[in-house]
Amino acid sequence: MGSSSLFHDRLNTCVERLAESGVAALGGLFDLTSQRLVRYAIAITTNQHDAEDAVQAALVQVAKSPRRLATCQRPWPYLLCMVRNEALQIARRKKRWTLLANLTDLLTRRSVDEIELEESYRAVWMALRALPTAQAEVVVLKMWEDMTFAEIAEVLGVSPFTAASRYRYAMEKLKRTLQPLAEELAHV
Amino acid sequence: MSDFRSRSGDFSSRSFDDATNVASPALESVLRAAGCYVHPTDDLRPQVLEAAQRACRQRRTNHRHGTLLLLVFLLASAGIPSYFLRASRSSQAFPSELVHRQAAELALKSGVGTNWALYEVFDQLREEQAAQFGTRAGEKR
Repeated sequence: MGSSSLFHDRLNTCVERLAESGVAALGGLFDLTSQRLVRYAIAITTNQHDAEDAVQAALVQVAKSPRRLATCQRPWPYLLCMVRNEALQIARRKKRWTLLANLTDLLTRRSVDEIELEESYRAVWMALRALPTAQAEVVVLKMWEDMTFAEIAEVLGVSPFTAASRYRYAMEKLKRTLQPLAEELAHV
Repeated sequence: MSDFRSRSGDFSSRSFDDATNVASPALESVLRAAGCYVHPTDDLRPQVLEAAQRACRQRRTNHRHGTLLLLVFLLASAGIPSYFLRASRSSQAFPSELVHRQAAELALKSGVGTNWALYEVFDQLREEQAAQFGTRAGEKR
């Protein structure tokens, strides 16, 4: 929770700087949010190239109206919503490439001591890609953005109950796929 | 799902979220750890900044053009009616009665002949009309 509040504090600082300085301050916002935005967009587009296009389009919109984020009460859900809209547009325009067999489009990084964990990470991303987009989004926002269902509902434009329901369905599927791996890692 | 529906209201609370969490701690740990696995490409940052700067420049240019067009329109709108007003005034026929009266008054005042006074009045009239159109009387074009 501490890291989450630190992130939001830093985001608010970036947003204020952006409102004051315009596009010159966009680099700071990018450095803080790009990794999170790209991984969220991948849940929608299922490939990194389109996900990065969506993030780029959203951040360009932010740069054109730098005060827009500053006037939001909750800039992070708003920014996620912008990325989501761009990702959905791209996903609708392009044929959906099925890349369930491999993750070669993803740019991944792991430290030396995480090599043995790489298999588990790849399994998670493969399982995530196998989920319907609506469920994958909720899992990403719940697990990696640590949002409540009310906050997730705000980003997705659905009711909190729908968000919770999608999450539950998603977790049941992920459990079937990943539980053996998780238990194996837990015993290591 | 029935236990889901029976819980009313507070979706914003963490306690509700915890209650609906079906993941085992091991699974949750694996899921959370995988969040840092994917990173943006190195090209993305310069691409985003360049695209943003380009978009802002274009926006400023469009804004300037729009302002200029608006200014031209406003000036033209203000200028056109007055131009037509001047044109309509200048195109009004000068009544001959008035010309002859002015010539008669001039002849009486200055003691010149009526014909010469008439000439003077018409000459004066031509100069006034030429001034309205921005050319000097008698100048060849």
